[in-house]
Amino acid sequence: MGFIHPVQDFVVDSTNKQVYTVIKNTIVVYRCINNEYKQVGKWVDNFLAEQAKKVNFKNKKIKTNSGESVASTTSTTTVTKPQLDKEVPISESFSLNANVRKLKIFNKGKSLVACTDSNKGIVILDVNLSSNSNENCLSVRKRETFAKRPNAITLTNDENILLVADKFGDVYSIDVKNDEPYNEEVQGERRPLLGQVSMLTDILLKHNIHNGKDYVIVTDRDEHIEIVNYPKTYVINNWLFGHKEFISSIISPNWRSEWLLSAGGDDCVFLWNWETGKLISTYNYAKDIKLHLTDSHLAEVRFQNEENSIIEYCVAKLASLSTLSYVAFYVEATKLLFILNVDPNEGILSLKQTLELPANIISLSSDEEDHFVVSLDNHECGNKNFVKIIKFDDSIDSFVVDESFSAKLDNVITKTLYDDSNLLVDCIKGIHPLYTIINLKKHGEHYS
Amino acid sequence: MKTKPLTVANPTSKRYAYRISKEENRNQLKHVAFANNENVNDGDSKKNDKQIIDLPKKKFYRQRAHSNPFSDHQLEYPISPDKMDWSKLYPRYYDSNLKQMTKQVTIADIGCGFGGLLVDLSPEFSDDLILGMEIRVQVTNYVEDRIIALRNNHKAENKYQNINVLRGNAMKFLPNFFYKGQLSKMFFCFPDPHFKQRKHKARIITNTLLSVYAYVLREDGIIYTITDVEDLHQWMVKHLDEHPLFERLSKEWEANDKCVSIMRNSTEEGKKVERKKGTKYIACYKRLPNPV
Ligand SMILES: C[S@@+](CC[C@H](N)C(=O)[O-])C[C@H]1O[C@@H](n2cnc3c(N)ncnc32)[C@H](O)[C@@H]1O
Repeated sequence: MGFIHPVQDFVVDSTNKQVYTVIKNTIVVYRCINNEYKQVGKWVDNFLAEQAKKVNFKNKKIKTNSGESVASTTSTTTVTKPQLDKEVPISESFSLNANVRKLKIFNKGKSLVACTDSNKGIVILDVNLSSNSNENCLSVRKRETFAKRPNAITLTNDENILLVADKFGDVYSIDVKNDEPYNEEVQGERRPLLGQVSMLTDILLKHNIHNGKDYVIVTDRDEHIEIVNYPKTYVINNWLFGHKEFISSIISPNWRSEWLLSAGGDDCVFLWNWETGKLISTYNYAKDIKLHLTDSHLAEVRFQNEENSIIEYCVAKLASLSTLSYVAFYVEATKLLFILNVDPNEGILSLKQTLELPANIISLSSDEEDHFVVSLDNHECGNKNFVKIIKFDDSIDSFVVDESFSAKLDNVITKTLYDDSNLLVDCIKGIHPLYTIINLKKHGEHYS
Repeated sequence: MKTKPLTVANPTSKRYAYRISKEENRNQLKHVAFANNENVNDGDSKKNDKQIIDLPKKKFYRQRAHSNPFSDHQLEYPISPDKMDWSKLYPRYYDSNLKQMTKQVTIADIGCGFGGLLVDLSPEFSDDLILGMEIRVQVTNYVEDRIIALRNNHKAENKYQNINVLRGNAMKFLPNFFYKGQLSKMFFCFPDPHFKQRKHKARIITNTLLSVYAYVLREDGIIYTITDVEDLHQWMVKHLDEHPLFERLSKEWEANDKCVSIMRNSTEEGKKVERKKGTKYIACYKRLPNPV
């Protein structure tokens, strides 16, 4: 038996009344039909399994993954360790890291894009919004593979171009309309649009309403926020300086498009005017998070001091609402959702409230109807509390969990997945790594 | 984790003793430079007035030939150009009344190695501040010691005050040091070739890094490149040619530019190639204006 693996990514398309859950290498879609949620689509990233079959076919020998406890529960995708290419460390090719990440809806809900770690690539899926309940609404439009793992994606405003920021610091563009994947053998090595010699962590494409030009904003592990002209990406406009630690997440709210919020390893969330390059304000959350930090925030042994007192934490993700001037964020491996009020004129950040959820938050986003949506590391909750929908309640002027909506989703997830052996795990070791953002923190190596 | 820090090196070794004595010099002279600046004349600085410092010897600064530009977590760099304190590097150009520098760095030697180019550019560009950037610690220390000795030994003429060196990864942190359009010249002399295909991204000239160099260079600023590796020369030319913000300068221009002749012969690597009678390939590019 076991329990259903926590939902690693969760996106709500409120316009089309569909929700998307990402669990391990699988995307599952639910649609609200007559006030009931039903599973209407599923896509499994079988790249590793297929790769394994090919290798297996060539070598006529299966290399089993002894010693790795997950093999028993996640059968088909993990029994073999495909030798993708010599440069990939074992840990990366291993399927525990075959996650689907950074799911994004576009094209009015008719398309999806996500990073697929299995092939160090991305996948674009078509969503059939008028499928009937017994057919799969998801179909692959195309997959693309890159030399280095994509870390963040964004679309141009016309949604024709996808920008992919990778682990090695480069940004590539992909023609969304062209169904043929890029072929390096025919078209030559991919050429980056822009690049840094640092791991890129997030990317946005923004339109400057004051000068009418477009810009790409990228963040990296080396505290940089870089703003580059688009499509003339060889012209760097400026850098926003102020972070002292890596940056994990940037957002720019609909209601003030010249504003940019950024956060990561620092104790502060930063609010910038990215058009002028000025820092407007910061919000320091160190005090508020203190009581919510646990042993899991102790630094790794190799970075630890003798007293074992070094704690390390970071903001994992920011999100803004579509019309209300609030933003939310959470600190990795905590249950606390911070909601900040953003003064729409001055840009002063102040704490609206914190919400303590039943388990650690592992993903955060928002929908078109001013909900924050989160998924939780619910492995101790017994197939409950997969996701929470958080809404603003006018009558009490605060945010509350929409319990009935959330429960509905929990129920349908449990009902549809409890017998999917691929998505069940029987021990904590089988859970994919959920708290990896802190690994972006730089630790001084020794002198060389 | 690879090389041991200075303090735990074998204390009986000659190299260790040498480094310690140079380190003492470095600390003392940095202090003296500031003291002079503020017109404080203590006994120490008087003593140093008469002391001649030996120029450093390279053999005591040996280190791995290549360092990894991707892993430099212990490097120090300012969080922004505003926060960079240049007064320690160029104390003569610090106005202690106004509490600001009287000049900005305008010439950068990227991967300056042992600093030969800085030393030769110094008298030629006495109105400019010139900075060498070097990623290897011991090589940086060598250049620092060399400049300390030169400054000290030419105190009367006030020479070599406009050059200095910084340990830093030029592939990552240039914008932390320099404002947009601050530099007028950037030198790339005999950069590491990184022959292996897999490592081409490690090369210091790539189309994406060129955009960063274009950012710190002002319009009409110049990128100088020289190498004895033909393959690398072609690589640099290809990428610079392809970049919309750079335009190659002619052979005639090269023939008339004093920096070209200086860079041909003054760097340590250039001298090595000269001794081996190797070929030197040169390419210089002008920074074009941004498109509107
Ligand atoms: C072959 S040497 C040439 C030195 C000098 N320019 C000369 O011509 O004698 C290349 C130098 O670049 C330095 N270097 C390599 N990558 C660098 C980086 N990212 N930032 C700063 N220096 C770098 C190396 O440490 C080395 O000293």
